[in-house]
Amino acid sequence: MLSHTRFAVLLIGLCGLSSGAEPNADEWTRLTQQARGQTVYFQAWGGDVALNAHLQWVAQQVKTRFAIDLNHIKLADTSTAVSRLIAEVDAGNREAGSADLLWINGENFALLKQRQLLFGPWAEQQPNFALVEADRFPEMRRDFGVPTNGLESPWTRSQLIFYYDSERIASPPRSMPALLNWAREHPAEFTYPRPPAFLGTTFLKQAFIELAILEFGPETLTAFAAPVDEQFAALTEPLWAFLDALHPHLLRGGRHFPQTGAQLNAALYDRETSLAFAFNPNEVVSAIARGDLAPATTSYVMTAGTLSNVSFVAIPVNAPNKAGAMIVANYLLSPEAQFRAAVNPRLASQPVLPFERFDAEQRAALDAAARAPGSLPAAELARTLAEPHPSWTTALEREWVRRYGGGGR
Amino acid sequence: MIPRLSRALSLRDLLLLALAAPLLAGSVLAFLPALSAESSQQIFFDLLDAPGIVSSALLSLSAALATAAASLSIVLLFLAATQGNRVGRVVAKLTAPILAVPHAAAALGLALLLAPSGFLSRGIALIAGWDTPPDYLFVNHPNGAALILGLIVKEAPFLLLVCLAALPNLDAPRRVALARSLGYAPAKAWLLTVTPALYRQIRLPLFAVLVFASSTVDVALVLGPSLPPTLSVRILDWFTAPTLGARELAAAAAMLQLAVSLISLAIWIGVETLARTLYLYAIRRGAPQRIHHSHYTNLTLNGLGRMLLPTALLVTGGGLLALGVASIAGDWRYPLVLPADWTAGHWIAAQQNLFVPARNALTIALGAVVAGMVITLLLLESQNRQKRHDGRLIWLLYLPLLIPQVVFLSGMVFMAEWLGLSPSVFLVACGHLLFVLPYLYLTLSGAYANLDPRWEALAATLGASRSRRFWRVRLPLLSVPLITAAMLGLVISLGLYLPTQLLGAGRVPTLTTEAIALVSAGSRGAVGTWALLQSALPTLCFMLALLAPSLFWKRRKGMTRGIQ
Repeated sequence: MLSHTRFAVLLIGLCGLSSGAEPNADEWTRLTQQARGQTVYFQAWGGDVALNAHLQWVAQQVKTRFAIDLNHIKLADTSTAVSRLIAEVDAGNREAGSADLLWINGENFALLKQRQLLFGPWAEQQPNFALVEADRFPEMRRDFGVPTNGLESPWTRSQLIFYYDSERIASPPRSMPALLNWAREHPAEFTYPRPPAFLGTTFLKQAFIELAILEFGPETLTAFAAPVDEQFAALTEPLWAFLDALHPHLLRGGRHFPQTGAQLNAALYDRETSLAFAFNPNEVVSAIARGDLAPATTSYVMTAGTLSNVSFVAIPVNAPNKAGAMIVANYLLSPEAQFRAAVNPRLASQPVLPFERFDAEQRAALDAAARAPGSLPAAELARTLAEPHPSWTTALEREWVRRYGGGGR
Repeated sequence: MIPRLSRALSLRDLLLLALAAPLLAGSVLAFLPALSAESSQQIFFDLLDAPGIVSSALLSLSAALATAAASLSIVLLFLAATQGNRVGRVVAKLTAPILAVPHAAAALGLALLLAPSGFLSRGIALIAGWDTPPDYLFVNHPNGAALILGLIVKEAPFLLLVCLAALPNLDAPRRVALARSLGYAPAKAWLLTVTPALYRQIRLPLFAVLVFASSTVDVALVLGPSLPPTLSVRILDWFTAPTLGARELAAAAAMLQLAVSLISLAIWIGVETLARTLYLYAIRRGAPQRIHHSHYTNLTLNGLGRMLLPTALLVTGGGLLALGVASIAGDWRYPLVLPADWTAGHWIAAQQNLFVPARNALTIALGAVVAGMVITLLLLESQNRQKRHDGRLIWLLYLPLLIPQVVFLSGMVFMAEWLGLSPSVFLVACGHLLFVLPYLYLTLSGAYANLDPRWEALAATLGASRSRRFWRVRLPLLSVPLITAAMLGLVISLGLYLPTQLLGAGRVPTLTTEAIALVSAGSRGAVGTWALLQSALPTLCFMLALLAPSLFWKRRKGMTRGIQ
């Protein structure tokens, strides 16, 4: 019963909040009071020890500052939480869900938004949202091209980067056709995770976009921003030809694909492969600091640019502790939390706040961190490719599984 | 009508039905999405259309049959070759802690041992002078060899303990002596005379092995192929995929999984008939006439028997060692056999994260085992007092071993959701109870039935009431099997992944769920640390089970027959 009364009180508070578009200091204070004593379940991928430790630090902070108990529910795969939410609401659970805050992106966000399973809008009412300067950085309001409409709040940035063992490779392939030629000369020194594993799909999209631009010209980029259509077969033709040629030259002859980025790193570290990639521009810096990669690992970005996006947190429609979840999301955006995640060498996260938002001391520390071995110059990172519409992702994954998922070539 | 019904369904039967209800309902609910879909026929066509679905199903089937056949042969050969001698007793003692290692941890250890960059390859590299790992596919090979090996090294120790529990009642030495007097060599004598009687006693656990091997998720995730994965892994993939239609596909695949498990049982039962014929033929033919021929057979049997099971134990032990090294390794780049430097970092990091998962794991395991023990004793005592046999409905208790977990758990989650039971330690413990019960019952029912009734008769003549006889005579006399059963129950519960993850909605982290979450992405060091942490509690339980009799009955030597 307690949870019902609490929910009623919460709703009253939240209605006031979502009516205005501008943050209102009074309302936020009221929300902060309401959040006191709440237990927030934050469902987020738990495969990175450094990130887990950072979230534990965040938990300590929100406990002392706002008396919120933050629990990080470590997911092996975010889709678990998404399908759980769908199942909960299907079974009639509309107010006592198992998650208060979700780290979601792309297709998962598009799906939940379309099924109206997200609470909000709330994100732009957070006091700290103004700091990200969304008018200057439109990507803070778009998740894989889908407008966020205030249903999610940004918390970190990501970009696809490649890296290689510089003891074994002098100059790495800087485009997909070059990668294929390189793989022919260096058999079994490259592999990628099996789609629909997140990182594998990312590689698939990168190869797809690069090859499509080469074949059909840069104007095809506009087609990718829109939902997938009947052009799919024609536009993906170069991708499948590329993969058919590439697979025999992969590690294990393309008969087994790894699952995760950690496995790519392990293979590179143990000299099974000499080229790998990650969806985090600071992966090499943090992995060297963790001891997961050798110091002679060098990162780079493809000449045509690489995929980049912003990571978001959202609140499920049936979250029992929405006030607490918002306070946590707002804290994740604070310069303090952003700085701490960026400057920790084992995590080395990319802040969503512009550099000027940090104070002089923090800026000096961030500058020093940017010179760590393995880090990329800002100029290279500026070469970005936008994520295609989420429907392309689903279509690409499905077609990959159809072509290669059953084994046997 | 009513008196007849009550005779037909005793309270005991009702209890059994109540225990089986969530399982049966879960199975039906798991199938529902496929059956209630607008065109349920189409779903099955879609399933058949899924790339490699036939390979997935065949892989699950062959893994089940190969695992059961190999594990059984290894154990029988071992028992025949050692026949309770000192080697046999020592190896059997070593088996117990290996059995306690959770499947996932054993699988991870095996991968660390046998992968191209694994321990074994590093050893060869040292001699052969390799700089880079060879590119061979064994772990994750599409033929499932690594998966089957990973299952055998866990299932053979399990079957061994089951056999050792059954053997004391079979009077094996006399059977062997009789056969030897007819001219059979020792190992063959054992195989011909003890196996048939023993087999009847271990048939149910063997069926459990078949079903488990046909539907395992955690072992298949680590050691199984990826193009395509086993059926069980695909069910879980579809069940957790948020895309439209995936749930329906998962439901249809769950029905296929149930069919695959049942087919593996059917094939096994078919092979049983064949084996029976062969056995009878071998026995009718009598002992071999030519002595030297028999001598070689005996040598082969003895050699295999003594080698195979210890090898299986060694593989798991080696895997644990590799996990241990990984957990404290600093720089351990291929081809280094041992790390160039060492670090405690992974353990320090884990220790900050340890308390809640360890507390949850223990609370759930203790809760499930205590509740399971009460239910088991209620069932056993009621049938003891009514002088009845197991009863018609006892098979309901074994359902959790005979229906694959992936089949009914999704339905149980839906049911819990529908009943408004939110994920909690309590709900997870209830789920664990279903899995712990059959093992408790299996371990205790034999001991219960075999207790010499004269003890209680004697107590009765001294004027002890029924309940006094139960508390003061029966339970103390059964203390060793009780402790063994409890420890086994704890081990089962501590190793459960799928029920914990699904019923707990990820909100009830245990050592097992934390370990497997890291497997998906953690570094070698973190995986090693958590796999060992996951193994620590169950191993401790088994050590206690081994030591308990001598601690408990310090001054009564005759009572100290614990796990052999």
